[in-house]
Amino acid sequence: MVTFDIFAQAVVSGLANGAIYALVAVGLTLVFGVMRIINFAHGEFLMIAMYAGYFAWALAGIDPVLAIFIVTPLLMLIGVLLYDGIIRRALAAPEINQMAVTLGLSLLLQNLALMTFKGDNLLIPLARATESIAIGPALLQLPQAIAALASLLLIAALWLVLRLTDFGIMMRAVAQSRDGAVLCGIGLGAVYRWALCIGIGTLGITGPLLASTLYVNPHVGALFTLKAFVIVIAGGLGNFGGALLGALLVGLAESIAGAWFSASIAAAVPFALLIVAMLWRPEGLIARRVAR
Amino acid sequence: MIRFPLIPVLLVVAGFAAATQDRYLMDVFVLTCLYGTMAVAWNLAAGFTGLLSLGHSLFIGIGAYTVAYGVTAHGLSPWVMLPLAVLIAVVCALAIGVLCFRYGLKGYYFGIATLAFSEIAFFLVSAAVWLGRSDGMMLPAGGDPWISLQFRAKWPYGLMILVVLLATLIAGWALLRAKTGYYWRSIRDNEEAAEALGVPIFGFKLFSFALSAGIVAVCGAFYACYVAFVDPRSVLGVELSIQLLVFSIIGGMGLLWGPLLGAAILIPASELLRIWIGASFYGVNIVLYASLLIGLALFLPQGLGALRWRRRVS
Repeated sequence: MVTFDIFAQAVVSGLANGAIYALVAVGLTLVFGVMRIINFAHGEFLMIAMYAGYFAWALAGIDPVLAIFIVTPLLMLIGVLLYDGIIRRALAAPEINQMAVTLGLSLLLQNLALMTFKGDNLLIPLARATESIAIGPALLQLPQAIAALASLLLIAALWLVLRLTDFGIMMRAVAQSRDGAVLCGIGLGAVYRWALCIGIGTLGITGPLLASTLYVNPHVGALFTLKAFVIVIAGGLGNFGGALLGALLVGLAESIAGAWFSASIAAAVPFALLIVAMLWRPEGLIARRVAR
Repeated sequence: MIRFPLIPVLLVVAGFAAATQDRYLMDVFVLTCLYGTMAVAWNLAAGFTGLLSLGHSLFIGIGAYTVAYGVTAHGLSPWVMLPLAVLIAVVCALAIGVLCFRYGLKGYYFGIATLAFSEIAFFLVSAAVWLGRSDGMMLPAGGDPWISLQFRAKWPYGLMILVVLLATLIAGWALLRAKTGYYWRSIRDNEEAAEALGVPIFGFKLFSFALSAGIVAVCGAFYACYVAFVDPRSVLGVELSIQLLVFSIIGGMGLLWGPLLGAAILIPASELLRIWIGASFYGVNIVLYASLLIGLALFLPQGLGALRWRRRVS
């Protein structure tokens, strides 16, 4: 029997999970919005960030919240290398080849991690992991609350950057019309490099925070890639507000379905949402309808 | 002009003849043909019609689970369940196709939508008690092997999958050189232009997708009999759908037999690697083939099968 208390708990943890999903999805939506490339290896970079956060704690005793400041620059650098090493060459190729490249990258990183770190589950056991905040009848674990807060801050910061800075205007210009932006004298290469740098860099914030609430293993990223797709498409590709809304919806739906049905059925719910969203509002849940 | 794939056909038949003496070789042959057939069928939709499905494991899973369920729960012969499996897969493909094409999902969007359908099936089967949940189902041995399709020897399996593969290649060749094939390729190259010229794109996309689904369902049914065990991860997982793409990219999507070439390179190669390197380094073979995939997708987009033509042109 699902009581009100259980329902309230499901809502609270659903929203907290949703905020974490948003933290993963926001980088993906930025990269797609600007470059029109779907990065199937997005989750694998999250996996790298989680390992980096774990080793910062295990080897140097750095708290995950502080590790963000080390892992984020690292991930940004990886983003730049990824652009110059691989994605730049893939942009000229047909869609199917772009897909194959990022899928190959995802397989490659997963299995390199498997060779290097073995398949063991690792976790940062923090003292504060057992503490929680009471919200009405429901409880929210402290690390989850921190991750949710970080997610909201990050999305707000990215939104401000895109709205207010010249750099943001250039990114939005490229997202709206690649050719138009080039004609206005915007260098595509630099914008793409920065988009990937920031898009992958956001995972540097997510990874360490997530490593204290979720086991790290080589396959952890794949789980998030699929959910991030759902969120990004439901929210409208390249739309931050939509990504946040989509993420909260997915988190809520999953956790409420989990309260009623088995975990497997709850896991199918985001994909059902995706299909409904794609058929019903292919341009995204909150996109403005463009007059033609 | 699509020529009859005579050389691949002869090579496959020769491969079967060479492998009959050795159980291990026959196993590699069967797996190569099985994945080769699935990849060729996937490529009919993806490479020739432009329908980039990332959810073909759904149809493979339908084939495998229909047979496994009929055999374990009702003791029926796989021969009885096979037409049913193909029927269910085709009906599902038509339903998914109608939904996606009606709402104009293309390219990436079609891929992600099909992926979502197959993931839903994956999780629902993982929760379904009557389908063995995530533990899977074991097919019982016994009875007349030509009825239960549970052979002790490997060669009957090799013969069966050889027939399926040859039938797929011949059907694909016949369709591609007929009007259907030209319509498919016109849809792939420019859907709007094809429609403007009067190609009934909706029907031909549905036909391509459903045909591809039907063929991989046959392969799924074969898989259930051959391995005698099905579980969601092996027949419904995303990894399986992605594998078909990998074989096709490596072999070449512009050729009917390109995906078969991809499978014929990668499957024996990963078997060899497993023998040389051993099971201790589990990820090594995937690392190598992922690197190959990235390199080919970037530098030889036509796949290995196109190498010959390239040299002749330049």
